[in-house]
Amino acid sequence: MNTWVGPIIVLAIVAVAVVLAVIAINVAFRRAGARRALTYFFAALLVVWTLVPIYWLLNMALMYKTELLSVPTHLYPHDLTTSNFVRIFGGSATGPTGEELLPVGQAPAIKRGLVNSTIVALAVTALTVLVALPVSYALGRLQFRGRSGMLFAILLSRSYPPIAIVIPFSYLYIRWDLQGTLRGLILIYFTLTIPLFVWVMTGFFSSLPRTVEAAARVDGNTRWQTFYRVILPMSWPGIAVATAISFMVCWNEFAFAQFLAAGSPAQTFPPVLPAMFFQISMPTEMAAASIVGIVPPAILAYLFQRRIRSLNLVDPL
Amino acid sequence: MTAIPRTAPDVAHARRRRWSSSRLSDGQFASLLALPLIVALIAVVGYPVGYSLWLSLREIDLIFQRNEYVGLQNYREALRSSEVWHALRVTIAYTVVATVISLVIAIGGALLLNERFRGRPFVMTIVILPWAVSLYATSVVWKYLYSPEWGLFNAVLIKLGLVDQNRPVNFLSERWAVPAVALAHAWQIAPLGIYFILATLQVIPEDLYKMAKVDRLSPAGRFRHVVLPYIKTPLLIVMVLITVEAARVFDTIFFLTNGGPGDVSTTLTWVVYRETFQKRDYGLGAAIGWLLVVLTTVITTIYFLLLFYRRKQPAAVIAQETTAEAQA
Repeated sequence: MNTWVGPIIVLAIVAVAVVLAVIAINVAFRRAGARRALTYFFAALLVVWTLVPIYWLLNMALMYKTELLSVPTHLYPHDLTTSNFVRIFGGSATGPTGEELLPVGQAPAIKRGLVNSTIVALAVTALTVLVALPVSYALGRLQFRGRSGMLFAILLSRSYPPIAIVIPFSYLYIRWDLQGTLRGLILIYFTLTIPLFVWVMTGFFSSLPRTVEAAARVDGNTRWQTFYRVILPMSWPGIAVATAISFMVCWNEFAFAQFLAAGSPAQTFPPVLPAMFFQISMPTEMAAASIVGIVPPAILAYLFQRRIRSLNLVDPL
Repeated sequence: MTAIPRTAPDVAHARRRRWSSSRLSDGQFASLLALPLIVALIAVVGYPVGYSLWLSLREIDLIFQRNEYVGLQNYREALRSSEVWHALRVTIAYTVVATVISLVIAIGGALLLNERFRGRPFVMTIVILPWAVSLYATSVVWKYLYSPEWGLFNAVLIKLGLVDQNRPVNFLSERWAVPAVALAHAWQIAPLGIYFILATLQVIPEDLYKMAKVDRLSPAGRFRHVVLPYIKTPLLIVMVLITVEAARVFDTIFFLTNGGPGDVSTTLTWVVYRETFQKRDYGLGAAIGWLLVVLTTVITTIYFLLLFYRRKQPAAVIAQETTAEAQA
């Protein structure tokens, strides 16, 4: 039963750590100064936990490979370089001793992958808004039979494991010539974005004041007019964040792209990485490429973090 | 304004145009709005899901063009295979570790960010970052943290003199592979939990804390009587969301261990992947996939039941209970 040994030890360590933390807070609570110190201590811990992995990736991406291989490992780049970023986009660079470093072989795939990822993410997001916005409005604002059943169905389609859904898709795609096409990817990404979008927007719509429609109807608007003249203009903040989340989900998706488009002209950005990761040892270039992939969603998350935090995701009813 | 005067504008519209969306009932209008989604869901989810059910009842060989009905044979084969049972155990171990660690981080992080301290906006902003870093990139990051040649963990341990630099620790060894991969997953998924729980914490009325202070509740008592009643529901939901995410994991296993060493970190998804995409046995892959679906469906159903049939408790009642218990 080797599987269980590691997990049990880890959970025991976590449990002990939690108990110790609770005791520490209990003791510190009696003295305001100690409590303050403890707050800063845990805040620092959280920052370290969050940022250190990303720092390490950056550290590797800004090093020459020769430096990375030095023993003991350098904790920061002694010889700072942007050559990895230049080389993954197809440029050549000068090495630490003046030799020429050739561009990475995957550079064309990386560039095409970024373009494909953008196309797929934008297309899926736009279509998702068209399809899912009306129904979110219905779920969030209207009383009708089958409403909770519908929410359940949508939720269930979200919990369906991608690996299970990819089997019929891959079999059908081979027969329908959709394997390795952007259309095929766009189609399957709906299974990810629609449930998420509906969930987020239903919560948003239901948080709007209850009297809005009544007032709009009194003013002589039809239902449609109420929806696009009154509700929609109020909903841009919600739509913006739901759209951003959809885009991020598509941009970050790996498994579907790996099974349905790896090695094809429609290959998106994520499946380019395994080729660099497993076939040839290119840790510094790989780190640089990962950072390129991380930047767009990180910017979106930064822009929308306040909105994401205020989303009513837990209970959209 | 007491009632909505339905008649006047409706009648006016009905006269001007023959058809108006205003003449529909809530239910009819809702069906109209839901139509595009229903079509899309049937096409994109319903059909493939049905197709995968059909595949799971067949023996398929793409090379020899074989495709015949074999009934439940794939399921029998799956349930008899010790590989599948082993993978189920690994999946459970992985899921439990990932869920527990991310819940601890989520609750702790949310409680921390609910405090007032200098630099809180900064911490609040960066805390979501791992969630934006996708799961595949997270796996790459952690592979490099764990790496024996240039990993951060080994570098630090060597600097501290805890590890001999010629014999670095292998974090992805037989014993540690599952928790190590689960830890990476927890790093990525916990931020969402922090945001979920924090949103709920911030609606707890300040008065309740003051009352707790007057009643001299200890922090543990305060957590138990003031905070917990409020965050119970989001907590359960976060728990189920994270559990489902962990149970259907693919990216971290793919990048970090490939199911190894040996079959130590072979989860159910990895078995499905191997059967389907390496051995090209679509039928058996689909059948094992369905076993996984049963697992996640059970978890989701619990989520749904909790959401719709939970006892709704007004804040005032909680406040009364809290003070009553505190006085007792």
